[in-house]
Amino acid sequence: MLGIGHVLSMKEKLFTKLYANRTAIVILAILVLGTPIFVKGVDFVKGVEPYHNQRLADLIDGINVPNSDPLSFGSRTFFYPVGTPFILHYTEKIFPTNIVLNLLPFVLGILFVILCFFILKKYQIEERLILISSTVLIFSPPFVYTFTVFNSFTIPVFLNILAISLLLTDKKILNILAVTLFLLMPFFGYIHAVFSLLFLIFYDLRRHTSFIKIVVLFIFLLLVLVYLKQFSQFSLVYLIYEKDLLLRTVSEFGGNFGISIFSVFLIFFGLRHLWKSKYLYSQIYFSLLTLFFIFLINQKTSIYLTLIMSPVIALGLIELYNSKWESEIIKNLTLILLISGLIFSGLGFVAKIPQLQPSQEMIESLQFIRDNSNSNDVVFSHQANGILINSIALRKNVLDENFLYAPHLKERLNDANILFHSRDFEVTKSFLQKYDIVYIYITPDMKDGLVWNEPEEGLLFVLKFSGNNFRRVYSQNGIEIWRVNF
Amino acid sequence: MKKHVYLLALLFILTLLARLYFSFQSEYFANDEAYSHLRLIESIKETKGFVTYDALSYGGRDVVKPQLFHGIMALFSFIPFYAKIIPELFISFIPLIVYLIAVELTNDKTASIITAFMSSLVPIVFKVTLNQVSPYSLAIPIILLMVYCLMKIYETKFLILFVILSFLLPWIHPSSFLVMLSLLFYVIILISESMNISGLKREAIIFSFFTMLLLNLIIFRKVLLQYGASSISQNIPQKIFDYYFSSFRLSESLFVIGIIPLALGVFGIYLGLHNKNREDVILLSSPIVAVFMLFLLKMIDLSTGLLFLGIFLTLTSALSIKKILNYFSVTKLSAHYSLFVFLLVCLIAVLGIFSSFYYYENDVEKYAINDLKFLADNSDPDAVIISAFNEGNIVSYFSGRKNFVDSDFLLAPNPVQRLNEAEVVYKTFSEAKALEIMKRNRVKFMLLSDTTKDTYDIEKILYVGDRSCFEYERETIYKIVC
Repeated sequence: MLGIGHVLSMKEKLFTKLYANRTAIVILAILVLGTPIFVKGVDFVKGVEPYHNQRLADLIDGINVPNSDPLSFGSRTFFYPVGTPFILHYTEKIFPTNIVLNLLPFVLGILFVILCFFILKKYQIEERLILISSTVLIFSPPFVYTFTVFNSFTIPVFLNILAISLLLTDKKILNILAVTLFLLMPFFGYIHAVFSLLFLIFYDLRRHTSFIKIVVLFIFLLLVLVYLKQFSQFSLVYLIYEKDLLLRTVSEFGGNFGISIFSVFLIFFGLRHLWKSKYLYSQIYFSLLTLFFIFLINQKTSIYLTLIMSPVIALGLIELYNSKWESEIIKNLTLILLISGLIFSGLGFVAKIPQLQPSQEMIESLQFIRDNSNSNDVVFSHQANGILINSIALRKNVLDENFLYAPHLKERLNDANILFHSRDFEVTKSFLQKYDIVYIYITPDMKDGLVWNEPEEGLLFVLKFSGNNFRRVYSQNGIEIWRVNF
Repeated sequence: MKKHVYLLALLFILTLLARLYFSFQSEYFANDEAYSHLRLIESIKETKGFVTYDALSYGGRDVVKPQLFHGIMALFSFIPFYAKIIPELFISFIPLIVYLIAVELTNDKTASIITAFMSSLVPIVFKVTLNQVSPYSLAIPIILLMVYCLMKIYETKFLILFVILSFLLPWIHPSSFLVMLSLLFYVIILISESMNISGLKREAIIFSFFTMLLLNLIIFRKVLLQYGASSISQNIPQKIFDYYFSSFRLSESLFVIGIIPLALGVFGIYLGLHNKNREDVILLSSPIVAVFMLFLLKMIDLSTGLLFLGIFLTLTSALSIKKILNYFSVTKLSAHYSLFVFLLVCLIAVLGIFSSFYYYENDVEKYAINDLKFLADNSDPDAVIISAFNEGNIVSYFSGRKNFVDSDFLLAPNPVQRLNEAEVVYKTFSEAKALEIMKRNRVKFMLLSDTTKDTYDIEKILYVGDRSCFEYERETIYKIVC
């Protein structure tokens, strides 16, 4: 009797400890994800992506997906993954837009952390490792970005993790729900389906062989069906036109989806520990490698990479802690430094979020276009402003950063380049007429290196010295809007 | 033993006295940058805190600079002429640390004393630090001390000192980036040579690397997020790199490093890579490799790169000097060993002194400082004064007015645009164009000093003949009145 009581009390203690740890992790996640909301408030939406998704959601009519996007690149076929706009469209019927765009990522982020905790527990991973791993995840810039700025990854990443956790339960109904979610993944983008496949093939196939094999096959078929038309018609030229690799992949250098230098160092220690068992963890090596390659191509996938990396980084920290160093002080100081580095990169990123575009000045200037132009007018600017021109000014752009499957992308990029840098009025005129451009939108960063380095370079010269052919209709806070008068 | 201590003390005193003597030859500091640091020190003194905003530079801009050096200087500000004395005192420690490193490297005290003497006469060190208020005067001795500590890392006191210095350096100067890169190269070279890095040294390097990385990320967070990898080059615009690199002449650069340090340093590396102290030679060579790499990528300015080349080549010279002395002692002339050492020292002294003072110049003496001081009392406090980028700090320091552009480009508002506009103002023949720029930027005065003329390669401003718009206020200053 005493024995049973002792066991029960032990179990209760363990449960309480686990519960306390989970609560601590949730509080940490609330603090990290809640800070940007606290700083910027719920009225302002920061980042370009929420505006883009909002516009796509507005294009959805009932359950019908539009055939074309009338504003991007002048007008293009609607080839966006429909999952996120669809959910956004219906969620906004219940909650106000700004609440959805600001609070939905926050709520999903908290649930995401809880589900990760649950999944790692299901795999019988040591509690200390789960705790460190969750902390590493919470302070990682990809996690912070995904769950503070509403983007095309916010919902599917959460759904993927939800599906995994449902699949790991013993209840059949939940398993079926999980399978349904997995089958929906191709509608959110092929990256999410690839992650689902990776998980099912490497982590779960051994448990549910025949059942999972059918699910895998179905996801694969759906993936092919959804993307066949697109892959057959277009090439992936968008890969070429990105910023330099270092800026995109390292969070300390400003990459929104980058990974921290400190985590790269720690992962080597984690992998060294795993390698002691040679090929026992081959699925981890393979998924890390696959996701890393996908990450080099598309940095948004870093959230998936971080998800797999976090337990390995945690392992690296523990390995480093347990390893024998000649100087214990140096070892402890190094550990403190590395942990501080991990935390710092996350917190640094949190601080960056309220400063994301669009600024209030940009919103006002784009609203000026919306209020003072015709609905068919085309606005020309740098591609970085294209999505905002579509979403806030509600006008057509010539270029934006959604290069995937964009029509005549190379031609448009070349033309834009000529237009920006030519000082010949006739050349400028021919390109403006080619794209029916009515407004030219110029921001301070365009004049400071993004496009031009000199005050009268290229198009700036033409605008200034072409008499009545152009009229400056707006000039505030360094933002200029020019109207084409021919 | 005692003889060497006396010699070393004498060397320290002589170096300090010589530097102080030349510093006090002019009431001004040697160049524009000194005044940027001086303003920072005075702001710290005034506000009793670190400075994050400069109201005069670029008409007002954020400041992101490690400010421990400036803080220390502010602490010593009760000493008369502290800005002249303290930096010279710091930099005079270089020969002492060089001696310690050289002894460790060669185990030969005579060669080490000669190397220490040589280090006190490296022309580029004179050019960059003499009569300057520059964080280099503290950063260089600290970097050298870190090298020495790393060589003797197995003694606890040096380990502790190394840890402390790794923590301090990033707060003093961004050259900690170069130290990080050098440590990285050191490890890579050792691994590629299949040499083992012993436990404690490896641990110290890992610790130091990550300490400096983390601190730099904290100090330069805003900068890194804004400029990414180009933060390493301090956001220096391409135009400025072109300006300095276009005047780059290999022969002159070799002289600036010093003929003897260069020749003996390169030979020293060759010798060192074949002897038992190979690991230490690789340690001293890795900053040289790092500087060359940064030169190739145009991520370091010319004088900073040459400064580090000069110092580390001087250090590796110790091996060559030892070899020469050993060789001489076994020749038939060995009876004249002392005379030979004396002649060698004389040769180093003559070449070192000649080159050092040939390349040292006081740019500020060329200015009509009174003209700038006149503006301090006779202009609107919000007035903006336009000048060349390499005299903006002098303008702000002496006039107390906002400059249009200066040489500190990190987080400066539209630096490329301003640089170009300043050039347009000085070189254009179009009065309308110049006036448009000046009015847009609220420029009220225009400086036309010898430096301005040299920078833009002009003799005069072409449009200032219009007296209704430009008044000839002072010898080097025009007032914009229309």
